[in-house]
Amino acid sequence: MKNIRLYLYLLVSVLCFCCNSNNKKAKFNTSFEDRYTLIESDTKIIKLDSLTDPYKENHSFYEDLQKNKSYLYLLGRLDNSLQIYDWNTGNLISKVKLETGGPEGVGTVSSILAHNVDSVFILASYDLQLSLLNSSNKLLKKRSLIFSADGKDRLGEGVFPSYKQSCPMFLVKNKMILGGYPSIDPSDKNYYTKGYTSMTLNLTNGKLSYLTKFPQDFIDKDDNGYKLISEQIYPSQAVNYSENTYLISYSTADFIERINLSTNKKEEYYAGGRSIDDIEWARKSMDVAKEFKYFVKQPNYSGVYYDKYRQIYLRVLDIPNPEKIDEFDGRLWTRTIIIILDKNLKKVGEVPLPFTYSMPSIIIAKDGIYIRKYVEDENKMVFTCFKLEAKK
Amino acid sequence: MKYLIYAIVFFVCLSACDNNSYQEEEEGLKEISYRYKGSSTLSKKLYLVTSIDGCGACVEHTIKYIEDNIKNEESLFIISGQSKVQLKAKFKLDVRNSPNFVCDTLLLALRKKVVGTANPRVYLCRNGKIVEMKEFTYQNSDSVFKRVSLFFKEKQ
Repeated sequence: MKNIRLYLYLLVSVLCFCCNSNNKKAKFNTSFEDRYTLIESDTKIIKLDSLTDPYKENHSFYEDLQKNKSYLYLLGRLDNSLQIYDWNTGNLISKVKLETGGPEGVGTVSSILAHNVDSVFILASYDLQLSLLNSSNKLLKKRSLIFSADGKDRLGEGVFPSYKQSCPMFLVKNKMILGGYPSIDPSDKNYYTKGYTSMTLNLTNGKLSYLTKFPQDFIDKDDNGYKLISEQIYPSQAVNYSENTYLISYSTADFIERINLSTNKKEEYYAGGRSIDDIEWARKSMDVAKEFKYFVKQPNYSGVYYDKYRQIYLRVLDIPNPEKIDEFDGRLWTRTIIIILDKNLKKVGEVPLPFTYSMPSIIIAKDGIYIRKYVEDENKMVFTCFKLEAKK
Repeated sequence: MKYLIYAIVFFVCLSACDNNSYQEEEEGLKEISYRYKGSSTLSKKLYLVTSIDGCGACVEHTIKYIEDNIKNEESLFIISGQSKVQLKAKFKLDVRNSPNFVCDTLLLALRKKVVGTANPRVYLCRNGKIVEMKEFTYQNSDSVFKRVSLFFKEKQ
Protein backbone atom coordinates (compact mmCIF):
# COMPACT_ATOMS: atom_id res chain seq x y z
CA MET A 1 0.00 0.00 0.00
CA LYS A 2 2.83 2.28 0.95
CA ASN A 3 4.50 1.59 -2.38
CA ILE A 4 1.37 2.38 -4.37
CA ARG A 5 1.05 5.70 -2.57
CA LEU A 6 4.67 6.48 -3.37
CA TYR A 7 4.13 5.66 -7.05
CA LEU A 8 1.06 7.87 -7.12
CA TYR A 9 2.99 10.79 -5.65
CA LEU A 10 5.71 10.28 -8.21
CA LEU A 11 3.22 10.08 -11.07
CA VAL A 12 1.45 13.28 -9.96
CA SER A 13 4.80 15.07 -9.60
CA VAL A 14 5.94 14.00 -13.05
CA LEU A 15 2.63 15.09 -14.57
CA CYS A 16 2.85 18.48 -12.81
CA PHE A 17 6.40 18.93 -14.08
CA CYS A 18 5.39 18.05 -17.64
CA CYS A 19 2.48 20.50 -17.58
CA ASN A 20 4.63 23.23 -16.16
CA SER A 21 7.67 22.89 -18.39
CA ASN A 22 7.85 24.60 -21.76
CA ASN A 23 4.76 26.62 -21.02
CA LYS A 24 5.63 29.18 -23.63
CA LYS A 25 5.98 26.65 -26.43
CA ALA A 26 2.64 25.12 -25.48
CA LYS A 27 1.08 28.58 -25.67
CA PHE A 28 1.94 28.90 -29.34
CA ASN A 29 1.81 26.69 -32.33
CA THR A 30 5.49 26.66 -33.27
CA SER A 31 5.16 24.67 -36.46
CA PHE A 32 5.41 26.58 -39.71
CA GLU A 33 5.40 26.14 -43.43
CA ASP A 34 8.79 27.05 -44.80
CA ARG A 35 7.46 28.77 -47.91
CA TYR A 36 9.74 31.76 -48.45
CA THR A 37 13.42 32.47 -48.67
CA LEU A 38 15.75 35.40 -49.35
CA ILE A 39 18.05 35.41 -52.36
CA GLU A 40 21.22 37.51 -52.32
CA SER A 41 21.39 40.07 -55.12
CA ASP A 42 23.32 43.38 -55.50
CA THR A 43 25.56 45.16 -53.02
CA LYS A 44 25.25 48.79 -52.00
CA ILE A 45 28.31 50.62 -50.71
CA ILE A 46 28.11 53.87 -48.76
CA LYS A 47 31.44 55.71 -48.82
CA LEU A 48 32.15 57.25 -45.42
CA ASP A 49 34.54 60.05 -44.56
CA SER A 50 37.55 59.56 -42.27
CA LEU A 51 35.74 60.83 -39.16
CA THR A 52 32.74 58.53 -39.39
CA ASP A 53 32.98 55.22 -37.62
CA PRO A 54 30.72 52.74 -39.44
CA TYR A 55 29.79 51.14 -36.12
CA LYS A 56 29.23 54.37 -34.18
CA GLU A 57 26.41 55.77 -36.25
CA ASN A 58 22.68 55.68 -36.65
CA HIS A 59 20.87 55.94 -39.96
CA SER A 60 17.46 56.42 -41.50
CA PHE A 61 16.45 55.57 -45.05
CA TYR A 62 14.19 57.89 -47.03
CA GLU A 63 12.75 56.89 -50.36
CA ASP A 64 11.03 59.44 -52.62
CA LEU A 65 9.19 57.15 -55.02
CA GLN A 66 7.77 60.01 -57.11
CA LYS A 67 11.17 61.49 -57.83
CA ASN A 68 12.81 58.07 -57.88
CA LYS A 69 15.41 59.26 -55.38
CA SER A 70 16.58 57.59 -52.19
CA TYR A 71 18.73 58.93 -49.41
CA LEU A 72 20.51 57.58 -46.40
CA TYR A 73 20.51 60.03 -43.52
CA LEU A 74 23.31 59.26 -41.12
CA LEU A 75 24.31 60.56 -37.71
CA GLY A 76 28.03 60.42 -36.98
CA ARG A 77 28.23 59.87 -33.24
CA LEU A 78 31.93 60.66 -33.02
CA ASP A 79 31.62 64.18 -34.41
CA ASN A 80 27.90 64.87 -33.79
CA SER A 81 27.32 65.27 -37.50
CA LEU A 82 24.36 64.85 -39.82
CA GLN A 83 25.29 63.39 -43.17
CA ILE A 84 23.14 62.76 -46.23
CA TYR A 85 24.15 60.15 -48.81
CA ASP A 86 22.75 59.47 -52.24
CA TRP A 87 21.57 55.88 -51.88
CA ASN A 88 22.02 55.12 -55.57
CA THR A 89 25.64 56.24 -55.82
CA GLY A 90 26.70 55.83 -52.18
CA ASN A 91 28.26 59.30 -52.29
CA LEU A 92 28.06 61.93 -49.58
CA ILE A 93 25.79 64.83 -50.57
CA SER A 94 26.14 66.96 -47.46
CA LYS A 95 27.57 66.93 -43.98
CA VAL A 96 26.93 69.35 -41.18
CA LYS A 97 28.18 69.36 -37.63
CA LEU A 98 25.30 69.77 -35.20
CA GLU A 99 25.54 71.92 -32.09
CA THR A 100 25.19 69.96 -28.87
CA GLY A 101 24.26 72.82 -26.52
CA GLY A 102 22.81 76.31 -26.67
CA PRO A 103 19.57 77.49 -28.25
CA GLU A 104 20.31 75.71 -31.54
CA GLY A 105 21.72 72.61 -29.84
CA VAL A 106 20.25 69.20 -30.50
CA GLY A 107 22.21 67.44 -27.77
CA THR A 108 24.58 64.52 -28.24
CA VAL A 109 23.01 62.79 -31.20
CA SER A 110 21.96 59.18 -30.95
CA SER A 111 19.10 58.32 -33.30
CA ILE A 112 17.57 59.76 -36.47
CA LEU A 113 14.31 59.60 -38.37
CA ALA A 114 14.14 61.13 -41.85
CA HIS A 115 10.40 61.61 -42.14
CA ASN A 116 10.86 63.54 -45.37
CA VAL A 117 13.54 65.87 -46.78
CA ASP A 118 12.12 68.78 -44.82
CA SER A 119 11.48 67.00 -41.51
CA VAL A 120 14.37 65.22 -39.90
CA PHE A 121 13.99 64.19 -36.28
CA ILE A 122 17.08 63.84 -34.10
CA LEU A 123 16.98 62.06 -30.78
CA ALA A 124 19.56 62.74 -28.11
CA SER A 125 18.95 59.78 -25.77
CA TYR A 126 21.19 60.91 -22.93
CA ASP A 127 19.85 64.46 -23.08
CA LEU A 128 16.29 63.11 -23.27
CA GLN A 129 15.58 65.51 -26.07
CA LEU A 130 13.97 65.29 -29.50
CA SER A 131 14.65 67.91 -32.16
CA LEU A 132 13.16 68.62 -35.56
CA LEU A 133 15.33 70.01 -38.36
CA ASN A 134 14.33 71.22 -41.81
CA SER A 135 16.17 70.60 -45.08
CA SER A 136 18.57 73.49 -44.30
CA ASN A 137 19.39 71.81 -40.97
CA LYS A 138 17.68 74.62 -39.14
CA LEU A 139 16.24 73.69 -35.78
CA LEU A 140 12.45 74.05 -35.96
CA LYS A 141 11.34 72.51 -32.69
CA LYS A 142 12.73 70.89 -29.56
CA ARG A 143 10.87 68.65 -27.15
CA SER A 144 12.02 67.39 -23.79
CA LEU A 145 11.29 63.85 -22.72
CA ILE A 146 11.46 64.93 -19.08
CA PHE A 147 9.58 68.19 -18.85
CA SER A 148 6.42 69.54 -20.45
CA ALA A 149 6.66 72.09 -23.25
CA ASP A 150 6.51 75.05 -20.84
CA GLY A 151 9.17 73.43 -18.65
CA LYS A 152 6.92 73.45 -15.59
CA ASP A 153 5.66 69.89 -15.25
CA ARG A 154 7.78 66.84 -14.90
CA LEU A 155 6.56 64.17 -17.28
CA GLY A 156 7.60 61.24 -15.12
CA GLU A 157 10.37 58.70 -14.96
CA GLY A 158 9.38 57.15 -18.24
CA VAL A 159 11.51 55.30 -20.68
CA PHE A 160 15.16 55.68 -21.51
CA PRO A 161 14.92 55.90 -25.31
CA SER A 162 17.05 53.43 -27.21
CA TYR A 163 19.76 54.65 -29.56
CA LYS A 164 20.05 51.27 -31.26
CA GLN A 165 19.54 50.97 -34.99
CA SER A 166 17.04 48.18 -34.36
CA CYS A 167 14.79 50.50 -32.40
CA PRO A 168 14.15 53.45 -34.72
CA MET A 169 11.61 56.16 -34.00
CA PHE A 170 8.24 56.09 -35.79
CA LEU A 171 6.01 59.07 -36.43
CA VAL A 172 2.35 58.09 -36.35
CA LYS A 173 0.12 61.09 -37.08
CA ASN A 174 1.47 63.71 -34.67
CA LYS A 175 2.93 61.25 -32.18
CA MET A 176 6.48 60.00 -32.06
CA ILE A 177 6.90 56.44 -30.83
CA LEU A 178 10.12 55.81 -28.91
CA GLY A 179 11.19 52.41 -27.64
CA GLY A 180 13.68 51.78 -24.87
CA TYR A 181 14.00 50.44 -21.40
CA PRO A 182 12.59 51.60 -18.06
CA SER A 183 14.35 54.56 -16.44
CA ILE A 184 14.47 52.66 -13.17
CA ASP A 185 17.38 50.98 -11.42
CA PRO A 186 17.34 47.40 -12.85
CA SER A 187 17.88 45.94 -9.38
CA ASP A 188 14.66 47.60 -8.20
CA LYS A 189 11.62 45.32 -8.30
CA ASN A 190 9.65 48.06 -10.06
CA TYR A 191 11.95 47.80 -13.08
CA TYR A 192 10.03 44.78 -14.34
CA THR A 193 6.62 45.42 -12.84
CA LYS A 194 6.16 49.16 -13.29
CA GLY A 195 8.70 50.16 -15.93
CA TYR A 196 7.73 50.92 -19.51
CA THR A 197 9.45 49.86 -22.71
CA SER A 198 7.96 52.31 -25.18
CA MET A 199 6.21 55.65 -25.12
CA THR A 200 4.57 58.17 -27.42
CA LEU A 201 5.39 61.84 -27.47
CA ASN A 202 2.65 64.10 -28.77
CA LEU A 203 4.55 66.64 -30.85
CA THR A 204 1.74 69.17 -30.73
CA ASN A 205 1.32 69.48 -26.97
CA GLY A 206 4.42 67.66 -25.70
CA LYS A 207 2.40 65.14 -23.73
CA LEU A 208 3.98 61.77 -23.05
CA SER A 209 2.08 58.56 -22.71
CA TYR A 210 3.26 55.01 -22.33
CA LEU A 211 2.63 52.15 -24.68
CA THR A 212 4.21 48.87 -23.54
CA LYS A 213 5.59 47.16 -20.44
CA PHE A 214 7.70 44.05 -20.05
CA PRO A 215 5.68 40.84 -20.59
CA GLN A 216 4.45 38.87 -17.57
CA ASP A 217 7.01 36.19 -18.38
CA PHE A 218 9.81 38.66 -17.57
CA ILE A 219 8.27 39.54 -14.20
CA ASP A 220 8.14 35.82 -13.35
CA LYS A 221 11.79 35.40 -14.28
CA ASP A 222 12.73 38.35 -12.08
CA ASP A 223 10.80 36.72 -9.22
CA ASN A 224 12.75 33.53 -9.75
CA GLY A 225 16.15 35.23 -9.40
CA TYR A 226 17.02 35.97 -13.02
CA LYS A 227 17.88 39.25 -14.73
CA LEU A 228 18.19 40.75 -18.18
CA ILE A 229 21.80 41.72 -18.74
CA SER A 230 22.60 45.16 -20.14
CA GLU A 231 22.80 44.01 -23.77
CA GLN A 232 19.41 42.32 -23.50
CA ILE A 233 17.33 45.22 -22.27
CA TYR A 234 16.92 46.96 -25.62
CA PRO A 235 13.74 46.08 -27.45
CA SER A 236 13.29 46.52 -31.18
CA GLN A 237 10.19 47.97 -32.77
CA ALA A 238 8.30 48.41 -36.02
CA VAL A 239 5.10 50.05 -37.25
CA ASN A 240 2.65 48.91 -39.89
CA TYR A 241 1.13 52.22 -40.99
CA SER A 242 -1.61 50.74 -43.15
CA GLU A 243 -2.97 48.70 -40.24
CA ASN A 244 -2.09 51.29 -37.59
CA THR A 245 -0.33 48.64 -35.53
CA TYR A 246 2.87 48.69 -33.51
CA LEU A 247 5.22 45.76 -32.95
CA ILE A 248 7.69 45.27 -30.16
CA SER A 249 10.25 42.48 -29.98
CA TYR A 250 12.29 41.65 -26.88
CA SER A 251 15.71 40.13 -27.28
CA THR A 252 15.01 37.07 -25.12
CA ALA A 253 11.39 36.37 -26.07
CA ASP A 254 10.38 33.96 -28.82
CA PHE A 255 7.19 35.93 -29.41
CA ILE A 256 6.48 39.46 -30.54
CA GLU A 257 3.73 41.74 -29.33
CA ARG A 258 1.43 43.62 -31.69
CA ILE A 259 -0.55 46.56 -30.39
CA ASN A 260 -3.43 48.07 -32.30
CA LEU A 261 -2.79 51.81 -31.97
CA SER A 262 -6.47 52.65 -32.37
CA THR A 263 -7.83 50.25 -29.75
CA ASN A 264 -4.68 49.51 -27.68
CA LYS A 265 -5.50 45.80 -27.99
CA LYS A 266 -2.39 43.69 -27.48
CA GLU A 267 -1.69 40.28 -28.99
CA GLU A 268 1.30 37.95 -28.90
CA TYR A 269 2.57 36.01 -31.89
CA TYR A 270 5.13 33.26 -31.99
CA ALA A 271 8.18 34.36 -33.98
CA GLY A 272 10.94 32.15 -32.66
CA GLY A 273 13.80 30.30 -34.28
CA ARG A 274 13.36 26.69 -35.31
CA SER A 275 16.01 25.20 -33.08
CA ILE A 276 15.83 27.71 -30.24
CA ASP A 277 14.40 26.67 -26.91
CA ASP A 278 13.63 29.18 -24.18
CA ILE A 279 16.58 31.54 -23.92
CA GLU A 280 18.35 31.02 -20.63
CA TRP A 281 18.39 34.16 -18.51
CA ALA A 282 21.36 35.16 -16.39
CA ARG A 283 21.23 34.68 -12.64
CA LYS A 284 21.06 37.93 -10.68
CA SER A 285 24.34 37.01 -9.03
CA MET A 286 26.22 37.07 -12.36
CA ASP A 287 29.22 39.40 -12.27
CA VAL A 288 28.82 42.34 -14.68
CA ALA A 289 32.28 41.62 -16.12
CA LYS A 290 31.05 38.20 -17.27
CA GLU A 291 27.90 39.48 -18.94
CA PHE A 292 29.28 40.09 -22.43
CA LYS A 293 30.68 36.60 -22.84
CA TYR A 294 27.44 35.16 -21.54
CA PHE A 295 25.46 37.35 -23.96
CA VAL A 296 27.28 36.20 -27.10
CA LYS A 297 26.74 32.58 -26.13
CA GLN A 298 22.96 33.02 -26.05
CA PRO A 299 20.52 33.38 -28.93
CA ASN A 300 19.29 36.94 -29.23
CA TYR A 301 16.43 38.49 -31.19
CA SER A 302 18.02 41.72 -32.33
CA GLY A 303 15.50 43.35 -34.65
CA VAL A 304 12.02 43.45 -36.13
CA TYR A 305 10.95 45.14 -39.37
CA TYR A 306 7.79 45.60 -41.42
CA ASP A 307 8.24 45.45 -45.17
CA LYS A 308 5.36 47.44 -46.65
CA TYR A 309 6.30 46.57 -50.22
CA ARG A 310 6.11 42.82 -49.78
CA GLN A 311 3.72 42.88 -46.80
CA ILE A 312 5.86 40.71 -44.59
CA TYR A 313 7.58 41.08 -41.25
CA LEU A 314 11.21 40.18 -40.68
CA ARG A 315 12.68 39.24 -37.34
CA VAL A 316 16.44 39.09 -36.82
CA LEU A 317 17.75 36.23 -34.71
CA ASP A 318 21.42 35.99 -33.79
CA ILE A 319 22.88 32.74 -32.58
CA PRO A 320 26.41 32.01 -31.30
CA ASN A 321 28.86 31.47 -34.13
CA PRO A 322 30.02 27.84 -33.90
CA GLU A 323 33.22 28.78 -35.73
CA LYS A 324 34.27 31.24 -33.05
CA ILE A 325 36.95 29.53 -31.02
CA ASP A 326 38.92 32.29 -29.39
CA GLU A 327 38.01 35.82 -28.30
CA PHE A 328 40.70 37.27 -30.56
CA ASP A 329 40.40 34.99 -33.60
CA GLY A 330 38.82 37.75 -35.67
CA ARG A 331 35.62 35.80 -36.34
CA LEU A 332 32.24 37.33 -35.55
CA TRP A 333 30.65 36.37 -32.24
CA THR A 334 27.29 35.59 -33.74
CA ARG A 335 25.66 34.65 -36.99
CA THR A 336 22.27 35.75 -38.22
CA ILE A 337 19.03 34.02 -39.11
CA ILE A 338 16.15 35.96 -40.65
CA ILE A 339 12.68 34.83 -39.66
CA ILE A 340 9.98 35.72 -42.18
CA LEU A 341 6.38 36.27 -41.06
CA ASP A 342 3.45 36.90 -43.37
CA LYS A 343 1.06 39.85 -43.01
CA ASN A 344 -0.91 37.91 -40.36
CA LEU A 345 2.31 37.37 -38.41
CA LYS A 346 2.38 33.69 -39.24
CA LYS A 347 5.87 32.34 -39.64
CA VAL A 348 6.53 31.41 -43.27
CA GLY A 349 10.29 31.14 -43.52
CA GLU A 350 13.63 30.99 -41.76
CA VAL A 351 16.78 31.95 -43.62
CA PRO A 352 20.30 31.54 -42.17
CA LEU A 353 22.60 34.19 -43.60
CA PRO A 354 26.28 33.67 -44.45
CA PHE A 355 28.80 34.14 -41.64
CA THR A 356 29.50 37.74 -42.72
CA TYR A 357 26.35 39.06 -41.03
CA SER A 358 26.06 39.68 -37.31
CA MET A 359 23.25 41.59 -35.60
CA PRO A 360 22.62 43.45 -38.85
CA SER A 361 20.36 46.39 -39.45
CA ILE A 362 17.90 46.17 -42.32
CA ILE A 363 16.71 48.78 -44.80
CA ILE A 364 13.40 48.16 -46.50
CA ALA A 365 13.40 49.56 -50.04
CA LYS A 366 11.08 49.11 -52.98
CA ASP A 367 13.60 47.09 -54.93
CA GLY A 368 14.52 44.74 -52.09
CA ILE A 369 15.51 44.08 -48.52
CA TYR A 370 18.96 45.51 -47.75
CA ILE A 371 20.78 43.74 -44.95
CA ARG A 372 23.93 45.25 -43.54
CA LYS A 373 27.04 43.15 -43.91
CA TYR A 374 29.92 43.23 -41.46
CA VAL A 375 33.11 44.59 -43.06
CA GLU A 376 36.38 45.48 -41.39
CA ASP A 377 37.05 48.41 -43.72
CA GLU A 378 36.12 51.51 -41.73
CA ASN A 379 35.66 53.63 -44.84
CA LYS A 380 32.41 52.12 -45.94
CA MET A 381 29.08 50.61 -45.00
CA VAL A 382 27.97 47.65 -47.07
CA PHE A 383 24.39 46.49 -47.58
CA THR A 384 23.42 43.41 -49.55
CA CYS A 385 20.11 43.45 -51.38
CA PHE A 386 18.00 40.33 -50.82
CA LYS A 387 14.95 39.42 -52.86
CA LEU A 388 12.02 37.58 -51.33
CA GLU A 389 11.23 34.41 -53.23
CA ALA A 390 8.65 31.70 -52.77
CA LYS A 391 10.19 28.25 -52.37
CA LYS A 392 9.40 25.81 -55.14
CA MET B 1 57.83 18.57 15.64
CA LYS B 2 56.39 21.84 16.92
CA TYR B 3 59.45 23.73 15.65
CA LEU B 4 59.16 22.05 12.28
CA ILE B 5 55.54 23.32 11.93
CA TYR B 6 56.65 26.83 12.98
CA ALA B 7 59.41 26.70 10.40
CA ILE B 8 56.99 25.62 7.65
CA VAL B 9 54.52 28.37 8.57
CA PHE B 10 57.36 30.91 8.62
CA PHE B 11 58.59 29.93 5.16
CA VAL B 12 55.08 29.86 3.73
CA CYS B 13 54.50 33.41 5.05
CA LEU B 14 57.84 34.52 3.70
CA SER B 15 57.14 33.17 0.24
CA ALA B 16 53.64 34.72 0.28
CA CYS B 17 55.12 38.13 1.12
CA ASP B 18 57.56 37.78 -1.72
CA ASN B 19 54.91 36.70 -4.19
CA ASN B 20 54.29 39.33 -6.84
CA SER B 21 50.53 39.74 -7.20
CA TYR B 22 50.89 41.70 -10.45
CA GLN B 23 53.16 39.25 -12.23
CA GLU B 24 50.77 38.63 -15.13
CA GLU B 25 50.11 42.35 -15.66
CA GLU B 26 53.84 43.13 -15.46
CA GLU B 27 54.58 40.57 -18.16
CA GLY B 28 51.79 42.07 -20.27
CA LEU B 29 53.03 45.65 -19.86
CA LYS B 30 56.60 44.58 -20.62
CA GLU B 31 55.46 42.88 -23.81
CA ILE B 32 53.52 45.97 -24.90
CA SER B 33 56.48 48.15 -24.07
CA TYR B 34 58.84 45.90 -26.03
CA ARG B 35 56.52 45.53 -29.03
CA TYR B 36 55.82 49.24 -29.46
CA LYS B 37 58.75 50.98 -27.77
CA GLY B 38 61.58 48.46 -28.05
CA SER B 39 62.21 48.25 -24.32
CA SER B 40 61.08 45.40 -22.09
CA THR B 41 61.56 47.16 -18.76
CA LEU B 42 58.96 49.08 -16.85
CA SER B 43 60.86 52.34 -16.72
CA LYS B 44 57.85 54.65 -16.32
CA LYS B 45 56.06 55.47 -13.09
CA LEU B 46 52.60 55.47 -14.62
CA TYR B 47 51.04 53.19 -17.21
CA LEU B 48 47.50 54.23 -18.12
CA VAL B 49 45.77 51.58 -20.19
CA THR B 50 42.34 51.78 -21.80
CA SER B 51 40.31 50.10 -24.47
CA ILE B 52 39.11 52.68 -26.96
CA ASP B 53 35.65 51.10 -26.85
CA GLY B 54 35.44 51.14 -23.06
CA CYS B 55 32.83 52.67 -20.76
CA GLY B 56 31.95 56.10 -22.20
CA ALA B 57 32.30 58.29 -19.12
CA CYS B 58 35.48 56.55 -17.85
CA VAL B 59 37.19 56.75 -21.24
CA GLU B 60 36.23 60.40 -21.59
CA HIS B 61 37.94 61.24 -18.30
CA THR B 62 41.06 59.32 -19.25
CA ILE B 63 41.24 61.01 -22.65
CA LYS B 64 41.16 64.39 -20.93
CA TYR B 65 43.90 63.27 -18.54
CA ILE B 66 46.05 61.98 -21.41
CA GLU B 67 45.70 65.25 -23.32
CA ASP B 68 46.71 67.27 -20.25
CA ASN B 69 49.65 65.03 -19.36
CA ILE B 70 50.92 63.81 -22.70
CA LYS B 71 54.28 65.53 -22.16
CA ASN B 72 54.91 63.76 -18.87
CA GLU B 73 57.89 61.53 -19.67
CA GLU B 74 57.27 59.38 -16.62
CA SER B 75 54.00 58.14 -18.10
CA LEU B 76 53.03 55.81 -20.91
CA PHE B 77 49.48 55.94 -22.26
CA ILE B 78 48.31 52.75 -23.95
CA ILE B 79 45.13 52.79 -26.03
CA SER B 80 43.99 49.39 -27.11
CA GLY B 81 41.78 49.30 -30.21
CA GLN B 82 41.77 48.75 -33.94
CA SER B 83 39.58 51.59 -35.12
CA LYS B 84 41.72 54.27 -36.76
CA VAL B 85 38.63 56.44 -37.14
CA GLN B 86 37.91 56.41 -33.41
CA LEU B 87 41.52 57.04 -32.57
CA LYS B 88 41.62 60.02 -34.91
CA ALA B 89 38.33 61.39 -33.59
CA LYS B 90 39.28 61.03 -29.93
CA PHE B 91 42.95 62.09 -29.90
CA LYS B 92 44.57 65.10 -31.52
CA LEU B 93 47.49 64.59 -33.87
CA ASP B 94 50.11 65.88 -31.39
CA VAL B 95 48.84 63.38 -28.79
CA ARG B 96 48.88 60.49 -31.26
CA ASN B 97 52.42 61.38 -32.33
CA SER B 98 53.79 61.68 -28.80
CA PRO B 99 56.47 59.17 -27.70
CA ASN B 100 54.43 58.63 -24.53
CA PHE B 101 51.45 57.37 -26.49
CA VAL B 102 50.94 53.82 -27.72
CA CYS B 103 48.16 52.75 -30.01
CA ASP B 104 47.84 49.07 -29.29
CA THR B 105 46.33 47.85 -32.56
CA LEU B 106 47.37 44.27 -31.80
CA LEU B 107 45.09 44.37 -28.73
CA LEU B 108 47.92 43.07 -26.55
CA ALA B 109 46.56 44.86 -23.49
CA LEU B 110 43.24 43.04 -23.84
CA ARG B 111 44.81 39.71 -24.77
CA LYS B 112 47.23 39.81 -21.86
CA LYS B 113 44.45 40.97 -19.52
CA VAL B 114 46.29 44.17 -18.63
CA VAL B 115 42.93 45.88 -19.10
CA GLY B 116 39.33 44.75 -19.53
CA THR B 117 37.03 45.86 -22.32
CA ALA B 118 35.13 48.34 -20.17
CA ASN B 119 37.18 50.06 -17.47
CA PRO B 120 40.53 51.81 -17.94
CA ARG B 121 43.30 51.06 -15.47
CA VAL B 122 46.36 52.79 -14.09
CA TYR B 123 49.44 50.92 -12.98
CA LEU B 124 51.85 52.68 -10.65
CA CYS B 125 55.41 51.36 -10.87
CA ARG B 126 58.55 51.64 -8.78
CA ASN B 127 61.94 50.15 -9.61
CA GLY B 128 60.54 48.33 -12.63
CA LYS B 129 57.73 46.66 -10.65
CA ILE B 130 54.01 47.37 -10.38
CA VAL B 131 53.25 48.50 -6.86
CA GLU B 132 49.65 49.52 -7.25
CA MET B 133 46.78 49.18 -9.70
CA LYS B 134 43.57 51.21 -9.84
CA GLU B 135 40.60 50.60 -12.08
CA PHE B 136 38.26 53.39 -13.17
CA THR B 137 34.53 53.24 -12.78
CA TYR B 138 32.23 55.95 -14.10
CA GLN B 139 32.38 57.76 -10.76
CA ASN B 140 35.86 57.35 -9.27
CA SER B 141 38.11 59.10 -11.80
CA ASP B 142 38.83 62.07 -9.48
CA SER B 143 40.09 59.87 -6.67
CA VAL B 144 42.18 57.74 -9.04
CA PHE B 145 43.88 60.78 -10.55
CA LYS B 146 44.42 62.22 -7.07
CA ARG B 147 46.20 59.02 -6.10
CA VAL B 148 48.31 59.20 -9.27
CA SER B 149 49.27 62.76 -8.51
CA LEU B 150 50.30 61.82 -4.94
CA PHE B 151 52.32 58.90 -6.24
CA PHE B 152 54.33 61.20 -8.49
CA LYS B 153 55.12 63.35 -5.46
CA GLU B 154 56.19 60.40 -3.28
CA LYS B 155 59.88 59.61 -2.84
CA GLN B 156 60.77 56.73 -5.13
